[in-house]
Amino acid sequence: MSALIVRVQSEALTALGARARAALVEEPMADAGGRAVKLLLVEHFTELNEERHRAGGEHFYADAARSVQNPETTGGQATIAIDKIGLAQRLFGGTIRAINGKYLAIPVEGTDAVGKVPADFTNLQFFKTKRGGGLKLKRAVASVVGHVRTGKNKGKSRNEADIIGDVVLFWLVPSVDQDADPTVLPADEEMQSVAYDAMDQFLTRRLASNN
Amino acid sequence: MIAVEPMPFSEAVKALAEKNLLADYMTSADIRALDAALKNQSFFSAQTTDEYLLKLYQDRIGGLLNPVRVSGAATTEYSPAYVARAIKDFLASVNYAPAPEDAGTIKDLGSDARVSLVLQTNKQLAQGQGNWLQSQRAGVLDSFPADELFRLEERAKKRDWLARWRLAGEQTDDPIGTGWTITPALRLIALKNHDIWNWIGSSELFDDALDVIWPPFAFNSGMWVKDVSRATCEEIGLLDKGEAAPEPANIVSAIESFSNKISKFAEEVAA
Repeated sequence: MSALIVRVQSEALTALGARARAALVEEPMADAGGRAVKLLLVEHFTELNEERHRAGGEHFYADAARSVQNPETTGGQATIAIDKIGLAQRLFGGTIRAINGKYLAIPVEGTDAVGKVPADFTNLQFFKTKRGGGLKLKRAVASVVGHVRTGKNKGKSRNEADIIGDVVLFWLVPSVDQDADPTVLPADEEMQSVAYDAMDQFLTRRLASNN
Repeated sequence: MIAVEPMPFSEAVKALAEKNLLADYMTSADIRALDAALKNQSFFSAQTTDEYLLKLYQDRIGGLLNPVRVSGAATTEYSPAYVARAIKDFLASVNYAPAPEDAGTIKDLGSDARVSLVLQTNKQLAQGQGNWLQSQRAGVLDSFPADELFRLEERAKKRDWLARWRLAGEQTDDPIGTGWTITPALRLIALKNHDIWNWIGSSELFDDALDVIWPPFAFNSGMWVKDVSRATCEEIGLLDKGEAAPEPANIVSAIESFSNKISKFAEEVAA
């Protein structure tokens, strides 16, 4: 899959790497730094899940936390992959276009549509809008309940569905422009800092044990 | 540097792919009674006899763990909502109908609750096992010798994990503070590969447990584990300064040990 790949680099880390190379512990030191960044990512996604989770929807950031992999180390550099589809889209932003059909179906927040797809409903009705359309739930009850005396329908009988109003479950749009959101990941400086601390501690301990 | 590149969570994908399909008329309680060693090799869904359905679940969850996406193609099929729809469409195509009294409940194979539980539980078990396997490296164990059990997802009704942690710890030969602990801030921390991990997900202690040594330890749990650094372990007294880290464990022997422990416990209780 296309995973989001995080590689943490800085001059300070390069300098530590040179010391580790000399002590023949370059790979395990990079592993320790990468694992520290993994922990930071897990904690970051845990916080985002607390802040941004919407009732009824997928725990997106919790799943991102579970998808952070162990660092892969090569040449003293640690690479961390996050196998969560949609995470790169949130980070970099960009346009999402409907490919398989004419429209993207966007569930309306606060309705039963969150976490579902249009095919999960059997009684949706299409209506057109300027940008595309929508899918509304046609209420089953349509008995005449009386006279409405306001607005342009004044004096006319209306059924209950009209009075209550249909419930829009999905908006249909041909594309969505999503802004980039750099807060999806911790700041570079923070990742560099935790990597440096973990690598420095590892190297200090390893050199002390060699003495 | 941040980039987007192909890199599957291979341990999780492999863990899922290697599972045998366990199709039978077993309830969740029956499944828990299975030997843990067998269960860890089995993809399961209580009372699901249709092997095709289990295979469909397995394939779709594999897709969620490792979406093989062609550049420019839609990602729709990797959305959990669309995966759930595919399962329901299959059930409709074979004219599945639940018993009237089960309709809409967890026993209804096509209910939202049931489909979501099966997808979520099996996907997370594969992720938990993959993470466990990735942790069994000397360098990782040396720098991050312990795991913390923590709440990753909120739940309307929460289990009392603090009480469970104490109970699981009491089954080990170690008193609190030795190998496992509860910090003043109520953090639940234990050395990796400590015996407490054999008990926290054991159905011998907890009816809703999944009989695994990695998260999620119980059905629909919002708990997960994360690394704890050596510095923190030394600070809270789980390790002395410079003390050796836990040894890497082999998955086969870890599961065997877990299974034997449960069997011994069951015999003691029976006696």
